[in-house]
Amino acid sequence: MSSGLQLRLEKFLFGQEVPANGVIANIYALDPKKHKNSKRNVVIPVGSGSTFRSVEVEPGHYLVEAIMPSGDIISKEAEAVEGQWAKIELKGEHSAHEWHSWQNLLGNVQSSSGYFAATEKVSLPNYDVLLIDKPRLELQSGSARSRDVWRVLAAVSAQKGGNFPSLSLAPLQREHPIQTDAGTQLHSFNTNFHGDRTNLPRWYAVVVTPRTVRLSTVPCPWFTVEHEVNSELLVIRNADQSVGTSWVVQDTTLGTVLGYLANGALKVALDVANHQSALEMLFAKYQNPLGAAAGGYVLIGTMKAGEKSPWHDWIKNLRRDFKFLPDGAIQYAWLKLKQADVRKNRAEARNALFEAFDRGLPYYSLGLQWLLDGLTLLGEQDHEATERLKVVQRISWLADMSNLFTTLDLGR
Amino acid sequence: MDRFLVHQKKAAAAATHAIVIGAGDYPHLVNGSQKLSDYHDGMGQLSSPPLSARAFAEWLINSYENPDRQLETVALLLAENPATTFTNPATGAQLNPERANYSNVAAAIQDWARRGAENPNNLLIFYFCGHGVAQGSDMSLLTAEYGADPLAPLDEALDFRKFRLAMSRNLPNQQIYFVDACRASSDSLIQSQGYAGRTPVQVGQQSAAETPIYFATLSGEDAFGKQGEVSFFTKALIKGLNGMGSDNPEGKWLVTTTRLKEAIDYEVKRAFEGGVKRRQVPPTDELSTFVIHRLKSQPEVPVTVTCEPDSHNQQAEFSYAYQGVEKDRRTPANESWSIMLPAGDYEFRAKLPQGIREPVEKPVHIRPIYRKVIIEV
Repeated sequence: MSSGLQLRLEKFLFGQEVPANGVIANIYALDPKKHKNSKRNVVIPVGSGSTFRSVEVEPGHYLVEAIMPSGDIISKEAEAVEGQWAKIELKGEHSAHEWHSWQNLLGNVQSSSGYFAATEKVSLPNYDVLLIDKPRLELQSGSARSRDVWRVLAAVSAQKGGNFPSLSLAPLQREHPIQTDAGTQLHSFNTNFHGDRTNLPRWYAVVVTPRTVRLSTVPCPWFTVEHEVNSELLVIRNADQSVGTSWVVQDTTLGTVLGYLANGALKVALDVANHQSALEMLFAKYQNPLGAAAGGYVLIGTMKAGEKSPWHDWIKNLRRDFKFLPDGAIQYAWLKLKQADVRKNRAEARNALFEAFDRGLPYYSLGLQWLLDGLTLLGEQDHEATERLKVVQRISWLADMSNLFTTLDLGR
Repeated sequence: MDRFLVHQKKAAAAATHAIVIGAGDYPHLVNGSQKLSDYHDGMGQLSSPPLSARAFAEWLINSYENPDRQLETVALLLAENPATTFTNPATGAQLNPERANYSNVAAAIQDWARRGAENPNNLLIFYFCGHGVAQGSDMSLLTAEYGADPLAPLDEALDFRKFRLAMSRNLPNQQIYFVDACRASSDSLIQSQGYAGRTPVQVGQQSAAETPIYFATLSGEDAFGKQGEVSFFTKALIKGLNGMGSDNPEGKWLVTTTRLKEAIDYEVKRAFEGGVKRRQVPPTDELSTFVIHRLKSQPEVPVTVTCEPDSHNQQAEFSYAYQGVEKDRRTPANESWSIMLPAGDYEFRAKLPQGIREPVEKPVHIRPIYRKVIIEV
């Protein structure tokens, strides 16, 4: 008869559950003579549902450890008995508010006790959040976009006072923020887009604070199999008037992958994304171009030099089929730069980097960094590359690289 | 022995070569011994970096173990006032580390890179602790004489992004970078029109090496900890290497790149929850998994013992025992009890006014990364 453990991480996620691609867990056999019975990098469900992941293990005593995207670690001992399946529910810390729960899971805001201790003496008014939902041509998506996007942003960043008429700022139409407290405010976005997914609209959120005007890529439209999901922006108003912003995409397949990716845990992100072939599905179905781009960063970020793999074609297709997406072209360039030394694949990488530049601001901060690094690798003797490098570098100085999605402080 | 080396021991084949830099004395920054630079940006003298660099160098010499790539060299450069000797803990030799100014740092990096390139299977370790200024993903690591030349202050800085990028196209195939610098945001980089310092290495003609980077991710001088102490990040790094970042999939305790990151992340999170502010950090652009270190003994694991509800901690006298023998106890205090223990099985108890309470798990198995022992009251 088989025996094993049924595992899940209980954490309130505003009534949602991530049933498959949840968080990473390790199962350690505690008998030193049976250490080979341990299992590592097991993906278990997280949320407020009732789904357990069944993991077959030999009878014995085990320690189960879950590592959350936030870096938090939760562990519990468990006994596997011959012929039985033991249900083990790990319990995550509570967030300060229910509406902080996703952000807390991903490490963007502290858990309840730490948060209230940090904000008990702070009460700041909300910052204005505006939306650019009809950006001027250079900021739009699509093949018509010109390289002028960089120059527009550079020019805007030189303006003062948070007045940027050239960006066509619009007040938010729906109720905003949807939640707020003494130190944070939450905004939710959904484009309700039903058109051609090879040419998505592009939105930016603009957060106006006493110190800066922050332009942040809205990770919308973001699709799951069924529908477009909401993307939520948490604005943290610090007592020193500095601002923190972070995004959560309420995707119950890829949401936690984005958290691991944002925190640089690329190998874990890969393990979670690969569970139940979610990553393969992402590229096979092409329903969610922005999600596929996240998958591309995970794959290339963890690839070994010179490695050849079937997924390389996915990146090629991402670049070819989604011309609005700078990130696909950047990833293709880095695929080439990692497959061989710079001289061998230089021409292909260069073409892809120039194409990415012309497509505009990458959706992901990692894309901005890779574009910068890729152009740097082309060398100072390449004047066309150097010209682009200078522009990208100037924009990158405005970037808050701790954000997963490209975020620029324009009003410094 | 090369003038920058504080340790040298010939390895059999592939080897590990480390360079360790700790800059705390900046004569041209606030409260420095020479003319204050116009580009000081509020940065001043630091006591922690030389101590942190010494601690890391000592750890490498004393504890580093990698059977496939034994430690062959450690280069150490310090900027401290006054300069003091470094005692090699293996040989007892008293050495005078060279000053961590740019010309020395550049020469030492070139020597280190040359040694590393001798065998593609070598491992290079780079460690810097000191001031850093950053804009976006550009980062200047400031060497001791930063600001000495008013016309070119950043000539006394290492352009870390370009340096690491160039190294990634040179041998060996695996290199690790630890950057323990407060990433102060500075207009100096913007004013310098993209010039973030010098780099002593050019882009090579090799395929991409694996070059994981570990940035200190806590903000401001808080991240350096108390005056005269090893920095928070370096403490976390050494804890990680001493076992908190280890695992034993095949029976032996190994520290890998990914497990070390999980351990450091956990320590950073603990500081963050304690009120230290996070700083902006570029996302890690790669983190491949390979073994850094093999432990010679049981890993040291951080353990937190607490009553639930935690309001009972103030009345609880905690103690723990190993193989039936009590090893330590703590008198009642407001907070939970944090200790470091070698991996193993332990018994915990809390003596409360209402009697003795113990955790449900008896004994409690302690293993990396971390264990929280909850005693329900």
